[in-house]
Amino acid sequence: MEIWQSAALAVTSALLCLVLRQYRPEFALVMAILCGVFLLSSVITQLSPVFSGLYELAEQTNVAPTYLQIVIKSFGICYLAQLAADLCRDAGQTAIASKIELAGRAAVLVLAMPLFFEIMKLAVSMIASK
Amino acid sequence: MDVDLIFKIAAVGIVVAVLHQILVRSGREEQAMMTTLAGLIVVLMMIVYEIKDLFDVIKNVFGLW
Repeated sequence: MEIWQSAALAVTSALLCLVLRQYRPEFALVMAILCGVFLLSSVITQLSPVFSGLYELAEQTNVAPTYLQIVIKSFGICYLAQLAADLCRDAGQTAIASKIELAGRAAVLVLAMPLFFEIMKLAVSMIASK
Repeated sequence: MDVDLIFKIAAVGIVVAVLHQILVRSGREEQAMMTTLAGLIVVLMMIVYEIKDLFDVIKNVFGLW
């Protein structure tokens, strides 16, 4: 989707949600979910060449692709968790929204833990060799 | 990605709202509730495939799971 199409889609669905919310709030939520899903998948489809370009760059500069993979995976986790949290907040469930945000943070932390341990190992070996 | 789906859901929502009003006014609260539930299930069945598509896109682009 082009940017103007995304903008038109967003404004149209916001308007329809506003109309529908007075009568049937649950249908307004379903429409908000669908609009969010459409917009996010169009954005991610547009972003995919950026990530493949980054992988190519990493290959040329001899950076291990696993490091880049961790960064890109955490991007994906953040997008998913943000989408779910925003939809929960729209539905009026702020408690569930903060829990899914916590889950996203935990997932990113678990993903980044091997890198952190590698840095710690390096630091420990530098201190011990002194 | 089928953007018409948003208008379809809005239409289903409005139809269900009208049916709900009519059934409530004629004193059939249970049937009104059932209509709302049926409409909601229909709409959820419609969006479930789009959510699956989004998850597939995320899985492919970010290399998750």
